[in-house]
Amino acid sequence: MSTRRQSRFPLRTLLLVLMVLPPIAIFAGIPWLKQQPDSLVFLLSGIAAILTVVASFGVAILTDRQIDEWQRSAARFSGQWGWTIGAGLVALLLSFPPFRDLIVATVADWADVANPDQKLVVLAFAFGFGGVVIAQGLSTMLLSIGWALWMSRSPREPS
Amino acid sequence: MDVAVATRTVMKNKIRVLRAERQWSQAELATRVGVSRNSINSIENGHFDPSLSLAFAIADAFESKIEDIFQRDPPKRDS
Repeated sequence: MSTRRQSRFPLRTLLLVLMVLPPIAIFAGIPWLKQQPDSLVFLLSGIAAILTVVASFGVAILTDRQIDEWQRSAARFSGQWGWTIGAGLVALLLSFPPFRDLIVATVADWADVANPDQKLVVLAFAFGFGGVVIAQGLSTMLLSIGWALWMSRSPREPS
Repeated sequence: MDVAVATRTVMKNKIRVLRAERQWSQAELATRVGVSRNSINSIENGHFDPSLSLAFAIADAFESKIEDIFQRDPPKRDS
């Protein structure tokens, strides 16, 4: 029984940089991105999102290998309820006009649109958010089935 | 015993006593076993049940048998 404490610092640092840098670069580059064609903006945003997600997975895997079962249990508890509370909070906030106005104003500023259709922006945000929640729910179900099947497999050697 | 009742079974342990006998701190036991001090603290206080492998590691650290360190309280049934 031992937690792994190998020197993974360079890899972890690299992954953390890859996780944090793309969104920062996108936000910092908004003035420049406003002058670019939509296709380029979507391409760069997609690459940034993929880099961040993949690097996040890497950091999560490295972290999981270095923590003990108590810490893993704590992470499972906080992750499970953190995601649930966060998702519920966004859904709740969407019903408050000041929050909706903030979303619309922010999107309008980033997209450089003078008079955005408020309903369209809020619906797009809600659909995007809903899509993520549904995708997470489906992924959770599939992984749960996969986990159950994997754990029910035959023993490696007869006992 | 159904699953719900089994998982509510509380484990008692003698970790605090065994540590005191050896004058080990929680941090020292944690280092010997290879887990965090929080793990030892939670297990010792009965808030967290260790896995079998961790229970064996703790028993090894004290040079004892698992059953000499961990005992099971009767399951709590809903009335």
